[in-house]
Formats: sequence, structure tokens, C-alpha cells
Amino acid sequence: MTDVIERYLYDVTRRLPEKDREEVGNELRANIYDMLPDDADDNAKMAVISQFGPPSLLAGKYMQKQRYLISPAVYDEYISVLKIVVFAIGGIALAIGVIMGIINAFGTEAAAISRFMTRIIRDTVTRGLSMGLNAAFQAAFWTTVGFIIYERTSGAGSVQREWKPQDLPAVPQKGKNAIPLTESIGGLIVLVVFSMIAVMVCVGIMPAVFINFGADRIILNTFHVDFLKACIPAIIISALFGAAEYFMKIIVRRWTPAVCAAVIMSNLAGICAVLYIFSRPVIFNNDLPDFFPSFMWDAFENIRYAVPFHGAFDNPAGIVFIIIIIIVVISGLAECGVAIYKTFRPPLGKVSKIIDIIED
Amino acid sequence: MPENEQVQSFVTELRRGSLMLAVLGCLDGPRYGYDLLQTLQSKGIDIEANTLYPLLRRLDSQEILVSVWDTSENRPRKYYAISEKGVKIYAELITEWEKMQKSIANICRRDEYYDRRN
Repeated sequence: MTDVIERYLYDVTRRLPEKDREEVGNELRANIYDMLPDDADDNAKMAVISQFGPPSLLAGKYMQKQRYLISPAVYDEYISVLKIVVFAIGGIALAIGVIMGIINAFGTEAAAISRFMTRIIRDTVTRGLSMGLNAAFQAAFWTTVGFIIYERTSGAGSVQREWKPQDLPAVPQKGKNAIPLTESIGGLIVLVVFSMIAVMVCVGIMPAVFINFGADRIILNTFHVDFLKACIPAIIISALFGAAEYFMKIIVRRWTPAVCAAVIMSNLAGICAVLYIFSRPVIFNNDLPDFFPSFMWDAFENIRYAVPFHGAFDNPAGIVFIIIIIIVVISGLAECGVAIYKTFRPPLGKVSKIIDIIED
Repeated sequence: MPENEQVQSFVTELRRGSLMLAVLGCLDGPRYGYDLLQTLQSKGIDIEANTLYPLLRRLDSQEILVSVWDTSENRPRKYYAISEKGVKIYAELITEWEKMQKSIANICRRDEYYDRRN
């Protein structure tokens, strides 16, 4: 067995940066031998070594810089970003997993309805959980990697960032000015899920079809191919605006002019998308009327050419679309109005002052 | 944390900054680690080997000390001495230390402190 002092030196220096190992080792060796008589036995050596304490502790004292994965300077930011990212991405993935589970269950032929139900529950739970957990872990991992890279490259941990009192954020009005995080994350999840379903309908992964279970099974798309094609960019663009709105809300967490602008832009994009979609010349599949029994033919003849901006008022289905458009536009504009009100209403203190003046 | 442990951690904290002052004050000439340790301990400074040696190395890398290996004897030893920069820093620190001592003495005189409390 090698000398106990050498073993101790090795165990200390192996924890140090390569360039320091030899020097620290030599220095410590000299110091340790200074503390020993010339003819020291192993017990005496061990007694001296014990005074130096555990190798990891001594190595820590020799370390010039504190070693952090995430330094205290950015730790709070790291934790708050981590929470948001993990819950948002985990939640979105969970929802997507559930939908994929449902699709999967539908995709398989099931003999009995009871078997079908167990399958659908099993598929949604396993898909949802595995995708949600996987995404949450991935999100946590990449957030951490991102922060480590940020810190190593920006020097945020070592250099005190320049700070001015003017940069301090305004104290949010309690409960009034704040945008609840859960609301923003929930909204984002709903947006992603609905956009995904809509896109899947459009590209035919999850088609909206009529099925005739007669002797010859006939499957017929509800919508016209051109209409579905036109929908895809409209859905994606309005989803991107929506996502930008929710990310702004998640980051800022209170009503500011920037958040208000994001809400207005997102709603206008949504309105434009709906107007664009409903102004397509053909919406429903041309073969649809032939698919239905003759007694329904008349009603669908109307729908066939149901286009709001092309003689809409001659056509009962067209009026339905007009009503849908009006509802969408009004609710979109109302949301913009609410955003403007919440952003620019006078703070509570001012209101009470005004009330005081009036009362006087 | 038990009270005496808490006291101990406060004492360690108080002592931490002054150790450097004690080390610089002891370095009237080149000295090797163990020699310095014994001197400090004999003057009542409660410092351990595993604190002093890393401290010496840090001061060396900060160019407050200079070091040289003496290999003339059968066992090599590393000698530390105060650098020019170290001398200046030491003078400033001592001034600061004296100021602080006075202020603390003014505020924390034992008898007065207990008088005021009662």
C-alpha cells in the first residue's frame, strides 16, 4: 500500500484544476512533513492528516472560484423560468398525448364497445402521461442547459450587472393589474390543442367525415379540399399571434401597453383569419348533396353554395355564417376593449382621490 | 441550530476577514507555512492548517504575497513573503481596521450597553 500521506495528497489534488495539482500537492506535502518528526510512523502521519480534515473540504478551500452550475445571481430567474416552461410544455404535451391516444384508439377496429372504452382510456392515459412527463423532463433539461450557456457566455454570475433605480418595475396593483399565470398557461394550452386539432382536420389526419354504413361503406369529407388547404395558413398565423400574446402575458404577468398591443394584434389576426376562411368561394364538399338521401337534398343544396359574401342573404346557411362572423368579430373587439381598459384605467388611488374631491 | 453553534458560526464570520491581516502582519520576513502557523497560534490567533495554507496560496495568486521554493535543505520548503503591492494593501487595511475598532468600541462598550438596556 502506498504511503498514507501520498494517498491523502492524491485525494485532495484530484479534485483541483489540472494546472494547480502539482503545486498544491508539493506545498501540502512540505507542510505536512514540517508538522511531523523525521521518524514518523503511520499513526503519527494519520494524526497530522486528520487535522487537515476531509480531502473534499480541503480541496474546496483551495478552489479559487466558487463552482456553480447556476450561480446565485441568476438562480431566482432560473427557477421562475423553469416553473413556467415545465408546466406549460408539460401541459401542452399532456394534452397532445391525450388527443393522440384518442386518435390511436379510434384507429383500431374494436369488436365490442366495452373493449373500445377500455382501449380509449388506456391509450389516452398512457400516451398523455408519457408525453407530458417526457416533455416536462426535456423542458427542464434544456432550460438548465440554456441557463448554463447563458451564464458561461455572458458573465452574469461574476460581473455585477449595471443597475439603476429607474429600472425598477412599478408595483402592480394587487389583484387588479395582474394577469394570473394559470390563466395565461391554460390559455396557451387550449390554443395549442385547438390549433393542432384544426390543422389535423385540415391535413386529413383526423378528418371531419360523413360515413355511410350501408352495404358499400362510403366515406366523404365534409369540407372541400380547397377550403381545407386555405384554412391551414390562416390557422397557423392566428395561432402564432395567439402564442405571442400568451408568452407576453406569461413573461410580463400584468397589463402593460405592450401586452395590450399583443392582445389586440392577436384578436385582429383571429378576426382576419375567420373572415378569410368564410370568404372562400366553396366551403363544403361538392359531393355532399349526393351522399344524403333525397329528402335532405334541398337543405344541402343551400349549404353547397353557402358563401357569405356571394349572395349570402338569399341563403339560410349563409346567414348562419354571417351570424358566426359577427359573433367572432364582436367578441374579438370586446377582448381588445377589455385589454385597453385593464391597461389604461386609472390606478385605484387616483379613483379614490377623485371620489374624495367629488364628495367634498 | 443550537445557540453555541450559532455563536461559533458568528465568531468564524467575524474572524474570517481579520485572518488575512494577521497573516500579513506576521510576515516581517520570508516564512514557510508551518512556521507561520505556529507563530500565529502562539500569538493567540485561532487558525488551522487547512485554513492557513489555502489562504496563503490565494494571497500568492492575488500577488499580495510572493513565494519561492527553497531546495537547499534535504526537504524543499515554500517560503512566502509580502509583495510591494501587499505592503500597500496591508497599510490601508490596518488604517481601516483601527477605524473600525474605534467605532465598534464606541458603540459596543459593555457597561454602557447594559446600562442603556436597563
